Amino acid sequence: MEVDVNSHLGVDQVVRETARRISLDNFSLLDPDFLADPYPYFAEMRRHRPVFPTVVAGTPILIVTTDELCRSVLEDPATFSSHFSLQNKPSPEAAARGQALREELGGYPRVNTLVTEDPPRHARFRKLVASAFTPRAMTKWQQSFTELANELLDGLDGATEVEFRSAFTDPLGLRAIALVLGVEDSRLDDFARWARHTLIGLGTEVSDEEYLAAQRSVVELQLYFAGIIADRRARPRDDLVTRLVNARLNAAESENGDGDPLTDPELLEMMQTLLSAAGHTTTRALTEMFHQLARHPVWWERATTDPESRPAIIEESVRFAAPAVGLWRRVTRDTQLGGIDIPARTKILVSFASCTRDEAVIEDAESFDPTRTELRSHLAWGRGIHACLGQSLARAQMRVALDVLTDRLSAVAIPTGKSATYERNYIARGIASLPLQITYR
Amino acid sequence: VKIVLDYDKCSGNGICESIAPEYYHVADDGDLVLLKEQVSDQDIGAIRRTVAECPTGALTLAPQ
Repeated sequence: MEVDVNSHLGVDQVVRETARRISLDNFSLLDPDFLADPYPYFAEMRRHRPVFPTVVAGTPILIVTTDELCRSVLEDPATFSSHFSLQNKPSPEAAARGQALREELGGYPRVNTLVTEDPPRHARFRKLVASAFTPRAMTKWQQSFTELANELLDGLDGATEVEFRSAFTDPLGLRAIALVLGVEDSRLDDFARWARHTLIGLGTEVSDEEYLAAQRSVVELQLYFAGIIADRRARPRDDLVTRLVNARLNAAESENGDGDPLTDPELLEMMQTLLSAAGHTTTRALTEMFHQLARHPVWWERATTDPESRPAIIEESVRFAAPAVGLWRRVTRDTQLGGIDIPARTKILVSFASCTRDEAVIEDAESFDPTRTELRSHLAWGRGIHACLGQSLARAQMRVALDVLTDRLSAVAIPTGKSATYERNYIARGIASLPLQITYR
Repeated sequence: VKIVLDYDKCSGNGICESIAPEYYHVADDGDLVLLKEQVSDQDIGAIRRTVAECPTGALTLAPQ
């Protein structure tokens, strides 16, 4: 499921020339050429049809591709509801067996919390978790993340050529979110499998076997997390889960005066959301950052000699990676978007991959350029009430990785004749493998 | 100028606090607390950034 796209990524000019040959006739989100390199397709959509109709998983949808239009969708949750997600499904038989399996194994019901809830209910969840994710709350993780990054680098054992995602960014992202969620080291292998399975069918087709394995994983994850929740309830610690368990709204906002604490299914859903929203996305942003630094030695140099350049490199990497490639919305009432009439119940894919490359608002958007002004005006973190809650956590992790690597490595480069490969996924797309040549200090 | 916070829009993301912790603080109940309303001349650049970068558009500036 990997594809070499280096020819498109290497030279910006190539991207533009490719764009001219792109045809949107018979477009499909599952087209291998699109999945290999979606950016020229999105450029074409922005140019000719910024609200682009297509069909996926048997459902007609509209892809919204420009910064301006994505912004207006994200800022209007009353018209564009989050109460919808489109996942590719297995056969009806497998779906029924999955349902039975979840019940048999004692799985908890799935409920809407942060990502798929609308106002006014969304605000309750948002407020109950807000304090756990402030920039201040993140500073306490810096030390642990630094130790983790150093440990992973030690683990390379002096290797000079590595597949960097499996060697460094995957375990860093996974173990960082494991730390935040209170997962024990002894369960890290299970946790890695659960993490993979939480997003099954999102942005890619799914086989019946994979689907059933994923259902089992989800229940295992729920039961394990339920144990953590029960433990923190009995023995509070200074950690995220204890904060979530004890989180209360203030009296004025609470309906029956008890602060509306999260119920067990809500707590579980929240932890699963944090895992899927934080683990994979941060890994994608981290991997893309080192990919870009390997491709642009001048930025590696700058990062090394001038720590003050690092926040800009991190921010530009997030824009460039657009780790949440797209998110779903559902139209609640007849409306208009980009001059087009859109009836109620229309399904919409907000394309972060596209709007973060919108040449109308971002100059030379296809280039990696940490010197650009308006660095943080991009939409990669989202916008409005669903804007990424974990962005301080993500920035902290990326900063630690950049600090540790520039401190201990003198150079990173793509080995001659090799290149990064990308996942074929229209929602969760990122680097699948990143061969790196590394030089130690 | 002074900072005006729309409590109904704020989602407590804390981007403002990351830029200007001496002005903004997300409390344990998830509510944003304005530590100072009046913006001093030397801080105006940072405060304008908090207004621009607030993901929910909850911050505005007003003449005193």
